[in-house]
Amino acid sequence: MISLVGVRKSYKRGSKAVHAVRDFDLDISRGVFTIIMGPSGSGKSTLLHLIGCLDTPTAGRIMLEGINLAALSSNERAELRSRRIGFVFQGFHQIANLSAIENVELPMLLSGATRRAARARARAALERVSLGGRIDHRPTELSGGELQRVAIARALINDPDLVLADEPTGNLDTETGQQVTCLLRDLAGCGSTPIVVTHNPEYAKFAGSLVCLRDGRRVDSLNTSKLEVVT
Amino acid sequence: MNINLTTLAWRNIRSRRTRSWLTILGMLIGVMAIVTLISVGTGVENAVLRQFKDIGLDVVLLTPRIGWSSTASIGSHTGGSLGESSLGSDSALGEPIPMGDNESPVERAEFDPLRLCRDVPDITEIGQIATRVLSISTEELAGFVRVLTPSHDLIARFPGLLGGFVLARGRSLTPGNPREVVLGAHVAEDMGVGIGETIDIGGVSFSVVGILAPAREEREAIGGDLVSGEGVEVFQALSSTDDAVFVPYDEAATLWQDRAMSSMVAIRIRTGVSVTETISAINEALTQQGVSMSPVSTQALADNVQRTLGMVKTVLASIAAISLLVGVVGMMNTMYTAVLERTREIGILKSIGAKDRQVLGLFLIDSGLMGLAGGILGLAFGIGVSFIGTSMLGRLLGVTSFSPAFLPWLLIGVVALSFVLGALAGAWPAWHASRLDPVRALRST
Repeated sequence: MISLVGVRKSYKRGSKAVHAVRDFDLDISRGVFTIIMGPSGSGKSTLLHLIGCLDTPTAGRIMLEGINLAALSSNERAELRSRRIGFVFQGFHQIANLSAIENVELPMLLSGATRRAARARARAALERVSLGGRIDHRPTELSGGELQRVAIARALINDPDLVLADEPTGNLDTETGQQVTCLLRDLAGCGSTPIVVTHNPEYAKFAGSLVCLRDGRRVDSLNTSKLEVVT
Repeated sequence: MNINLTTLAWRNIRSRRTRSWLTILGMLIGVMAIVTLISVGTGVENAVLRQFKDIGLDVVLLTPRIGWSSTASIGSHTGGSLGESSLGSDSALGEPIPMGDNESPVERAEFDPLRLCRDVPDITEIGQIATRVLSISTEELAGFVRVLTPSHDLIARFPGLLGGFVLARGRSLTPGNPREVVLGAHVAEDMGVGIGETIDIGGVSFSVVGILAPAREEREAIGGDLVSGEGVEVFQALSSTDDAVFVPYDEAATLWQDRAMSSMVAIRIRTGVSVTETISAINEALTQQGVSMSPVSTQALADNVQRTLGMVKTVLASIAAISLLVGVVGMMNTMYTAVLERTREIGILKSIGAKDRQVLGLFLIDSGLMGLAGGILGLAFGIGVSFIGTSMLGRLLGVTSFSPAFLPWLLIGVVALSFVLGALAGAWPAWHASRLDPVRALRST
């Protein structure tokens, strides 16, 4: 479904060039729950941003079902994010002035759906993550686990092909983290392709495909004792 | 999606309530100042121009130039309608009277109204008036008073020049009764005299036959304080009737020939003819007569007044516009701060598919809504302050009968302008927001 060929991403930090991702090749099939794992600073988040069209590679190609993402304009990338990609972030990233259901319906409204259709879909998405009773609550009135479930509901609202989660359990306790991971894993059986970035090896057991990173390069395996484990 | 961007923008405005209100206040003050100054200014302008319309915009006033002694030169002509009856008879306008011996050679020329009417066929009516200050006394009181000496034709055909010459009691001056006087409202009240009583003016006894109603207040106050220019002062002096007395023109010319302070001839021209061309013809005729008089049309005076008041209004509106500009800069500052504070929110919006133009629209609507709120509130306060300001100005000038004029284009335009200015104030911050890199925006604290 998505393939990365020779992808490189470099930044300038002062006069020094930082290579966040180097010569990265990857193929991910539709419906496979993929976990990208690596220590802090290994380039996991950068890779996710590249796959999610939030950023463009310095070199290489990223193909999403035949579309070269690097060749898209800013608006085309936004359109693609809106219709085919859902994001879940570690920091939940809700808009504070909006209620849970308003946050969830926002991607649909941005892609031009009617308010009524968006509201119905948002309600269903929140019920799917067991938040049907909290739809009118503001982000400040929800727990971390609830906020992350709202974020997952928002990511699912447009039935995306890809659901990209960047450290989705980073701010959650172990039990809630496992619930959220299971929720993301289950998406794989519903037509989506969840890709989760984490540095917690505890979640590797859920992966249909495990991708390991170190210093921006893909490696075959990681010494998990050196990874930070969330307890 | 626009409705939802509006909802989001409105929520953002509400979430930073104090700052939003202060920003709106900046716009409010600017809009209020513009509405107030233009509305009050237009009200004053309308009140003054109404005076000219009362007189008629087809009137030409002949006022003496420097060195021209009006009473002597105008002599005993009483003026009159230039219909066949009056034009056909010299008695209607009287014989030309030469200037006195003490006048300069140029000033010795005679003013002959009949000849002027013959030379300029587009003249339809003519009337004359002179002003003097003379002693006045009754058995109990004595003092000085402004004596206006209009011809009967001026009273009949140009009452607007005399503030309407509206009688409260008695009757007007009539031909053939030379020793009659009509009193202004204040003079009658101050001297305590009534119809039929006798008063002494300039050493001559006159019988009071009429008392005028009080003059319209704006005629005395607004015109007197705000308007100036060639011919306007004479017009103002004539229309201030409350503190004057009225004696027939012929009688005054006979009794106090050397004591005239100023004089004027009023001419009405035929409807539809060119005022400019008629004035040129009058000038030519006066030159041929050798009379040094200056013609000016009420239309020209009105234009002059309108131009002067227009300039005053423009200056005031410009000052108000500066305060509006300050409000716009304040809004720009608020919006730029909002963009900095909401950088992560912009990143979230972009990550879930918001296009650059949607982010741009969000911030434009945000600032436009604040501008609109400032405009609507500024308009409401402006209308209120206009009434209060008019009332206070009226009390200061002793005027109560003029009111602010609210021009529809101003009311609609100022609200639309405040929305546009608000949106423009947010344009640069909004553009900045729309260009933010989503990854950097998401990582911002």
